Amino acid sequence: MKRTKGLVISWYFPPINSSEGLCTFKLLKNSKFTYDVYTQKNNKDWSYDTDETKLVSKNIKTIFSSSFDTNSWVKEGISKLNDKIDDYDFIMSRSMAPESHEIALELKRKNPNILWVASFGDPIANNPYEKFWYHDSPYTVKGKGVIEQSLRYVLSPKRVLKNLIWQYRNKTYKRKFTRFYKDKKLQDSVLNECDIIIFNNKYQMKYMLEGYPEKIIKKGIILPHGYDKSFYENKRKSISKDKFKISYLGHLDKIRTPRNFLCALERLKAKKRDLYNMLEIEIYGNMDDEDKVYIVDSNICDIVKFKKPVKYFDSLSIMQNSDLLLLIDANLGLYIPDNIFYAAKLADYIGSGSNILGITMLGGASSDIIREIGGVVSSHSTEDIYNNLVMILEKKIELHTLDKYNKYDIITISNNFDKIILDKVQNTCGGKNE
Amino acid sequence: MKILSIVVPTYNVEKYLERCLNSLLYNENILKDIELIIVNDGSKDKSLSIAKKYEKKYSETVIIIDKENGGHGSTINAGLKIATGKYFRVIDSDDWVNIDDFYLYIDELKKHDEDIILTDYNKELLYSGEINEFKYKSLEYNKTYNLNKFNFKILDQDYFFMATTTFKTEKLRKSNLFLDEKTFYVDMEFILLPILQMDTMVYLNFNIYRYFIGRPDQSINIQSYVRNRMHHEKVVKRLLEFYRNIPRKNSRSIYVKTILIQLLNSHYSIYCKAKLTSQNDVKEIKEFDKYLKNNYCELYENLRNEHRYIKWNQKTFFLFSQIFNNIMSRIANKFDYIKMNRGEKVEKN
Repeated sequence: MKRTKGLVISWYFPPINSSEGLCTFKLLKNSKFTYDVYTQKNNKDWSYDTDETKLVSKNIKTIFSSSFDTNSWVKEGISKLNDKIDDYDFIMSRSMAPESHEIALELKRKNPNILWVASFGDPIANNPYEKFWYHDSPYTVKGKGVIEQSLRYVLSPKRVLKNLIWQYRNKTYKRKFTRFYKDKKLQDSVLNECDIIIFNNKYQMKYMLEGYPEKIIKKGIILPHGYDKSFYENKRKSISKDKFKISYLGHLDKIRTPRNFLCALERLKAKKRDLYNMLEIEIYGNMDDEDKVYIVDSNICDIVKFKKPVKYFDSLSIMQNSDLLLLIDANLGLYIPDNIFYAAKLADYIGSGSNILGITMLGGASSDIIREIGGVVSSHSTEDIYNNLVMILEKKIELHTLDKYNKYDIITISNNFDKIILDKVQNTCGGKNE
Repeated sequence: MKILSIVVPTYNVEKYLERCLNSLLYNENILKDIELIIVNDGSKDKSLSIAKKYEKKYSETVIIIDKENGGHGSTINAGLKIATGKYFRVIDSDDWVNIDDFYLYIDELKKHDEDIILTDYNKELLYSGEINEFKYKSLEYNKTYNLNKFNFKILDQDYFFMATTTFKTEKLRKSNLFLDEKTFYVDMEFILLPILQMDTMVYLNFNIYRYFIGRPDQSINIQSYVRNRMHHEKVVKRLLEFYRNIPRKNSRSIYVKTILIQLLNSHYSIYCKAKLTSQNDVKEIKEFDKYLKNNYCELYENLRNEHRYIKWNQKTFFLFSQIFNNIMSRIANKFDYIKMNRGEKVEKN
């Protein structure tokens, strides 16, 4: 019996360490199939370091592109992979970057019988996270809020003129619309032409498939991110009883900002100094400069340490040896009612067995998962964060032990993935491997 | 005797309930002094099981009433029926209290005997992160006011809110308070209907309540107002009836009138600023307008003078807002950012 073989197209993949690539790696490593992964190792944007030794698996072979940018990566990928397509039972494209889907789309069009699985980390088009970066003109008539604006304002020639000048001058506005239409077209084509669509949570699935016909909705399945037990050290190091260590690992910026958490610490310092003195906070990764300045200005740098990004396996060790892990999501409530993002780091947090405090939207993927595993969810309100910190430190909130939790164990998730693929391969290809 | 009974109306709030209860039960020193009545109003989510967890852990403090769905008012009615505390207040389950000051407020309550206790609150606009601190600008802290001689005009727009007001339970019962059931916006009934029974009031220097704004399904957003406009009308009519029966000599009548004008303005706004697009809407607001004019002439005139858009609409048989809203809706459809971003969906093939 021939072993099922998949072709995976992913811009990020080990040895480059990035959340996207690691998610895909963990899934494939624990799958029973064999894989060729088309990727690259020249462009290390959005990644932290490389690991040539630990992140390898017998069932995975990587095909590296010589490209440095996504455009040439796409061209090279299409020509290189199309000749070998008969070797594979299915292809899987994984975003971000969305260009992986462009390659798969072209391969599917040239080989309509191949099973295509499109896996989405984030939406390609209409990503609520990106809406923060692309500001609208301050002089525009604002869609749904139009009724609240006065007729005089709406019809004012001065406003119309200012709006046109702003749009002409502002490059991000132009880029937004150029990019939006390109992304939208790609996303529509991918959803329409692929055979299986993988989302990592139900909110993302609902958001991305809303308004699409039933035929497309039926293709959607949910496969959450998972943790790999074998990546963690067997035992926790002893944690100091005098200090309570809180760690955050990952990317922070103007949108995914720790500002309210920092404000809560400032309040804690003012109101409950004894609890404040217990804390030891380490933030690994990137942070907006304004937040770094805020740490200094608000005199909390005695307990808050900002550190450079660390290697993936070191990050897992830090997670294991923290009293509490902090998850900070962007507050996207102005754009979406529920959070559609399930950060890959949350899966690694779960695997570490440490307790989790999630500062996130109260409805959505992260909050559901954190509640499910017995962690604490806080809204972005400074006072809510403060209250939760106080109650955690005074042991007034019960934090559960997560050791027995295996829903997010990657072995379970990979088994589900295998079942879905095998079932579909057998149905679409008449069981050519059996 | 417990000093304070707190009713927590609970309906499908599994995401918020723990935050509320944790803040109320944070300080164990006050658990003997408070009574927490969680009224589950037929929730379909895990709210009841969350409440039961707290009832089990804090059996001397937490009581659960599990009832069929009857709306916000029904939960307060049910809570009031069994409340044993000297004072009574309502904390909505998606809101919470300031844990640093709540126990101080409970301790302070023990020293008082006034009928109304007022405290401050913060309004948190969660999605923008904005916090508005509410204070009674015209009142002095710790001063006991005699409401029979009190000049309610000094309150201006700072009237009593559910988030600021603690009533003496005995007086609430005396007022035969029974809120409309299966009706939204009954918080105005809760604040106004007992006022005739209340004789004294004190304002304490505590900022207790955290009022959470920004839940997409909250009843105070404009879409909810439009959807539930008949509920709003029902509440307005009940309060108009209440106002009619207050002797004009009673100083409280000015207070009730001020709030009623605010409420009537809100009611006209629902139609004139958001809803008035069809003939049926025009018919609804015309009927209400006629009712107000025929029965409450004085209020009607005051309202017209204070809010000119109402006068313009009345003069043009509500054509003014109808035309304006239609133009705006067309512009909205054309420029609607969300529609534009969504674009055309995939063709069916």
